Amino acid sequence: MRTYLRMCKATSALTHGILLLYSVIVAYPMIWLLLASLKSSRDLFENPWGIPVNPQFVNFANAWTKAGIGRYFLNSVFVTAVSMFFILLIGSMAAYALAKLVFPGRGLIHASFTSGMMFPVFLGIVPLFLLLRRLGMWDNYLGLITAYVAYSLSFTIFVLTGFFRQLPSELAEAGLIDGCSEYSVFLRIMLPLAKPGLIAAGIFNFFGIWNEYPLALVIIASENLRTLPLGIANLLMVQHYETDWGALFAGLVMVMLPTLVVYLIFQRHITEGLTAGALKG
Amino acid sequence: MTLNKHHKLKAAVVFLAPALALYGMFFVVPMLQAFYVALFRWRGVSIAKQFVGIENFRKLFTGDPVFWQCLSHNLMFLIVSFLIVIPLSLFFASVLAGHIRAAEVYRGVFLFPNVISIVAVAALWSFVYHPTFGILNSLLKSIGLGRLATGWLGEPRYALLCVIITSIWYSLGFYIVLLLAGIKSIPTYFYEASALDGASSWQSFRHVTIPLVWEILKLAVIYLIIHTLNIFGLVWVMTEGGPNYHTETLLTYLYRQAFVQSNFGYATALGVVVFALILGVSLVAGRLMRRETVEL
Repeated sequence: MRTYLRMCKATSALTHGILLLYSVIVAYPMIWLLLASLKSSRDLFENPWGIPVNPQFVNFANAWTKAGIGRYFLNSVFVTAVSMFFILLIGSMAAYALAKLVFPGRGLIHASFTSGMMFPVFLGIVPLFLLLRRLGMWDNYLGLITAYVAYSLSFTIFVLTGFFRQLPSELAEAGLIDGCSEYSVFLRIMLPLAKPGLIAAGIFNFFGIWNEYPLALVIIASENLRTLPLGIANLLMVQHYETDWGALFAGLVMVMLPTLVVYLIFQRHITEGLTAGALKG
Repeated sequence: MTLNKHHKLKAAVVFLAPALALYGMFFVVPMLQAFYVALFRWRGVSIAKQFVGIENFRKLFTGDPVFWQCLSHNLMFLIVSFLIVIPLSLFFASVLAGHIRAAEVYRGVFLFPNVISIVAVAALWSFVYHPTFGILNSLLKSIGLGRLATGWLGEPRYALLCVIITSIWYSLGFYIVLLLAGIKSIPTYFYEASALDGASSWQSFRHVTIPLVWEILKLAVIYLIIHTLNIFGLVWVMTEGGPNYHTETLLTYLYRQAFVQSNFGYATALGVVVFALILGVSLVAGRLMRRETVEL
């Protein structure tokens, strides 16, 4: 019995050891990045592991202005905010109709939206590029945001239809009897009740668009229109001996910071939503 | 009543119109057009568009060694990821499902890389592998293995493996959380019963956990297939497919063909092949993993 207990203790210590080790593997590169973002280039090469000798907060200022990260950051904020607004508005309207209104072809339309999740981004990328170019929507935000909205609708409608279905139809009917139109029933009664769904869909679209790379790479060419992922990728690819490493690291910290904040606030939503989405999908 | 019905139809049209228009025009049509564009030799200017039938596909399979190289890299991605991700995520998920302190904190830490931009992940790991100030080389030096230090991503022998490891670091948390949800939905009395029967923790893992999460394990494998055949950003930012095509994958090659060399028809044919591969490999994996479902 005693050896059995000792064995249990040993395995549990081993388990904890492995969990800690993997936590370090996950967290250490990010901590290293944070420290490196405060180092001068010389400090970085002489002392790649240690605490910054003389913290260079100026790296962040340089990243923001000289390396252009400030501009990319604001571009990303704009593109993400506008895209999310339209995705949630258009997506919730469609999801509401699919969940609560009765009309012919409803099942077929719902299926055509959800089956879109099966298609990889790259399958349609050349036709999309040619289409946007023909419509004068290439290399501008109209094209990028339109593409983001179109590509996000499948998932968003899938999630929101689920939420709207759970809402009691009696509420909508009561609204109609009281003389509300279908539109104000949606806006004033159903949409506020679907808030948890909007938050879930919003979080995933935030991560998806804030971090998005391939579509932006294909649709945006002008330097001043770059989003953060495009800007960072470009800084990294053109790096040479005079690269301001500190500014590059500071820029990376600035890409990751908003996702970290959203992640910490909504962590429970994210883990639950992720598994629910994956298990249903 | 008919009035009401008429109202509903009109409302449905209004509610659905914007979504259907955008989704149809900018998602469905390009996806369907791909199957048509793939049949042309098309250099982007409409005059240079020439119908060639299945010529693009014939050239991919029989006249293009780079395609096969890319395919082998993607398969390497899939196999290495499978061998590492499935056992590790099963292990972590079953540990975190038990009574362990700070399980939520570990879960939070493990999942975090999954919400970082793939570009930031690629940049971060370029610094891990950096030849002069990289974490990996300085780690090797500090434990007295300095002779192993090298320029990882520039080495044909190591570059692909380095990118694969980065991809695993990025995605492992997703699989842990997925399997964790599966394991947590197993009623505890199964474990109590197996403990009463004197099963060791390995035996209950083998004969209770595995069969009961089998469907989710299957799902995880299908996700793994989709992720590894769709690898693009990580490779493009870390190595641009180099050195000398040693990390080129199907999608970086597609991007290069389309947007560097303007071979739109050829690139689209490659896109169709990747789509078919994802469907085909997923179906085969689903078949191979078919098993009597255990009813709870």
